[in-house]
Amino acid sequence: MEQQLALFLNLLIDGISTGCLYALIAIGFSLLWWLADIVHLAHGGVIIAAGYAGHVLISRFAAPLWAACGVALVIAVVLGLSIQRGAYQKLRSQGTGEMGMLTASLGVLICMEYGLAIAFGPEGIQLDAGSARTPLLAGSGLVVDAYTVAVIATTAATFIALIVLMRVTQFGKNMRAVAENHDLANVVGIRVNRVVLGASMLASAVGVPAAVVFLYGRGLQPSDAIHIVLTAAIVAIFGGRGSIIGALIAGLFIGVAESVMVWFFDAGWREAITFSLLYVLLLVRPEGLLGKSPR
Amino acid sequence: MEYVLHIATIAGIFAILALALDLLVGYGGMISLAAAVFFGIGAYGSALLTKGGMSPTAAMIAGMAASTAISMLIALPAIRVRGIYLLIVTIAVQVVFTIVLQNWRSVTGGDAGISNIAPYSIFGVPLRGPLFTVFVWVSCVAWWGILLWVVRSPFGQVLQALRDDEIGAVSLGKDVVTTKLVAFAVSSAVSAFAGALYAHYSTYVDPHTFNITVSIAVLLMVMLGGAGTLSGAVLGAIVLTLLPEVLKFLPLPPGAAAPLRQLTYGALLVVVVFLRPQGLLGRGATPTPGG
Amino acid sequence: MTNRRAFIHDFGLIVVASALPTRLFAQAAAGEPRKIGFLMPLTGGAGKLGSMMLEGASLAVDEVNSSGGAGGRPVQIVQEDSQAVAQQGVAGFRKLVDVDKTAVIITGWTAVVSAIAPLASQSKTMLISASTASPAMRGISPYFQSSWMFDDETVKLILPYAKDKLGVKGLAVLTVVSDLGTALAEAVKKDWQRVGGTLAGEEVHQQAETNFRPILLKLLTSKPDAVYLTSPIGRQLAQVVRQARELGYKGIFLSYGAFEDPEVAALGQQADGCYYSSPSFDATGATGAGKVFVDAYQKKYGRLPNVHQANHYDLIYLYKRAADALAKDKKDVDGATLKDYLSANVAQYQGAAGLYRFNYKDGSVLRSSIVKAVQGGKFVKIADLG
Repeated sequence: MEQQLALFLNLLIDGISTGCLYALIAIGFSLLWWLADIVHLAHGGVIIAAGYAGHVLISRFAAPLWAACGVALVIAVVLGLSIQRGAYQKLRSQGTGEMGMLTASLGVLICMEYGLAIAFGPEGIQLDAGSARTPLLAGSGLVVDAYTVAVIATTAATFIALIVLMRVTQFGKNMRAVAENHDLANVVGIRVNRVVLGASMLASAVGVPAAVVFLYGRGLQPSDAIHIVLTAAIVAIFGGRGSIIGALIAGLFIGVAESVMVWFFDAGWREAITFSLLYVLLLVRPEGLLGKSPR
Repeated sequence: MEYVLHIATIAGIFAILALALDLLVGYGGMISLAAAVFFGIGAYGSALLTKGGMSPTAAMIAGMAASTAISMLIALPAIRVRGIYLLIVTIAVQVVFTIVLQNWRSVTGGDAGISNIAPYSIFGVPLRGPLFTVFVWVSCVAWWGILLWVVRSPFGQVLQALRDDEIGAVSLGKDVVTTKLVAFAVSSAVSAFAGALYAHYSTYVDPHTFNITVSIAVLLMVMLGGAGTLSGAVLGAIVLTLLPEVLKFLPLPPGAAAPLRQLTYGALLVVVVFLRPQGLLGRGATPTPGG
Repeated sequence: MTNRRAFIHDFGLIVVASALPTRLFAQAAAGEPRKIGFLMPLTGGAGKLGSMMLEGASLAVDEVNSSGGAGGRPVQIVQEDSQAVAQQGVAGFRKLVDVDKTAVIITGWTAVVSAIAPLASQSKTMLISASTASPAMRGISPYFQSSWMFDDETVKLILPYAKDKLGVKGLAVLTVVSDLGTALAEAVKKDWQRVGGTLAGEEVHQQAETNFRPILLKLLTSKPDAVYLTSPIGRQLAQVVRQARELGYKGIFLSYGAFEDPEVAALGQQADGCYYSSPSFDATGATGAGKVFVDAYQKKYGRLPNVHQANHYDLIYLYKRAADALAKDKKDVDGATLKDYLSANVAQYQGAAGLYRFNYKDGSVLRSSIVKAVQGGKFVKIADLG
């Protein structure tokens, strides 16, 4: 039984690591959804672009990790801002409806995906975490390494920072007001467009740690873009509209479920089970775990 | 010539699919990325049943019935949720469908699919080549006419009322539940019809032909042509079928050619939304589905 | 579809050419090019592999064209991107046959071949492939011929070697959910039992999987000596090996030719212990025709070629051999004549990638094979397998 227990714990740890990744990609997507009802499908493209930027710096210019992250951050924010201003806000002011926005976002995602494929080739990139992957508790049967600890720590730090931002800063309060009610926020004097722009910068920024985790973990290829944003959307809905903690819990839940399910089921059916659970959730509690009532 | 016929046939089949989706999305305001599911049910249904000895027409009808039944899986949640929530429900059904096709090997043949499907025949007369292409387009026009009648009927009026103002419609005593269920039933049945045609035409079905990429393509056909116009759906199908083929003839550097084509595709979508957000044939601003 | 004008043109050329001393003829071939279709994945997950294969074929085409062409005319490759899916494969096939009028198409990947084989039988287009390994393709069409061994046969080569020479007792299998993966896993399990080994476990994964850690965690609890990998995608194999090594697995990996991929080589030390059976092409230790190819490839592209490029180089030369003979007999070179010529005259073929023994009855082939391993970032021959 000891062996089975070790396996279960290892699956749990792996699940938490995956879950952190999911939470990170989801929160950026969620912010724009809450604040401006934008289904930011292009978010997947922004994350992948950030990953490629970091990869280029590390593998071609032998830059240290912090420098690569910095450049990736700048690129992600610039991309996110451009899409927000150049596409979403322009279209909104033209009176484009929900589906037009969806189509435009999808179009941008496709452009980013294939633009990267043309520039870098379709095969994808990967970085080796090297010594960060050596087990910390050798001999115990548990697979825990410095990398996993770093992922969990980064996620925790990011979410704490976000919550503090939302509660304490004026910008955070403005964001909450806009999420609650656009028109009222306008009346009170909040520049809604400005706040949404700031939120899109924030959303892109939060995607950068996720890109780095992908880079060192399972690799990134341009064709991952749509799968990434789909996962983000699922976690966002699962967690519930408007709740940062909800996104974190949802991400962890889904990550752990995917991992631990291997213990019970053939890996082939895993994804089917995840989506079936999602389906049941939407039937029973569409507002997600910690969300307010659906709009 | 065969090449042209091939493109024409595929365009016709997707035109039927797009018409079916327009009923849901354009007239009903219910976003769905599960078009390929019903397309696939029709296709696999025809493949399996005709191999088992059924006549193609009977197999087609059986496929349409099965499709209607399965569509209730989406229709029921659609009563409660809309917008992005409904979108995710449809995506969930779509993804699970593809996984079932791939893993339920004993029935669907798994990843290898089902091959050697006989051509479509009526009363024992096989329809091949140009004859089949004509049949596809005649069916398309027929469904166009039927759906036109549907959207102009009282049922259709209620459906559009739901799209524009659900709360208002309910307060007037309209039966929301039945309307939504019927809309899904009709849409999925027509999609299954297109699927049956596809199976007999390509003689080969596999899970990759009915995955989320195809659903996205059909949604884009509706959007491009103009949601809520029916004729827009047909136009969108023709344009989006022709486009990748036309781009193939452009002199592009090899290696970069294929992704460059896809990129142009994406760019065109963005441009259309900017220049003409209501689609090519739509009128005025798009209604906001989901209220 | 005989084009009389072209035929007479060719005939005239050959008459004139045979009257000239050979020296004068060794210049770029002239005349309307012979088109060969190349219907392979050029984008998408398998795009890199398809592009690599194109490189091998292109090199051969350049060489052929600068030394008289095939059957007296230059050769031209017409590419179509199949994306390894049936629908694109069919569209590409239609364009190659109806618009470009190609008589022979180099193609691959089970989904594509399954869909176009019946069409090829109808249009009498010859399909030649060095990238289709599923045993389900046996006998799919008289117009389909593979130059890459079907995997149920390659599997039987490496397992006895693993048991006897590598000391493997417990074998675990990582099966990809696909027609190829399942057929392969069955063949492995059956043959492993036959040679007297024990099956330590089996796990399944989806085709698009990138995170293998949970599956590997489960698979490795039974502490296998070796893991057999069924995925045909080099990148995916590299992922599995890397992630398994990160989890602390120090055992052996076994596979078939798909291991020979730059991504696996790039793993460096982590890839030590990866063994696979391969057609007897060894870039580092090549001799004879193989060495000629390796040198030419290195000159053009600046790196060493792999077995896939060698295979496709050979396909072009195989075509040339048939085209030359057919043109000499004043016959057209189309799908039917190619098929007839090959079946009647080319039971064996010695190419840059080794010896081919074709079986035209079911479209299969037997290749001289070797065991290779990944060592220090290179693919190195370890032993002969016959």
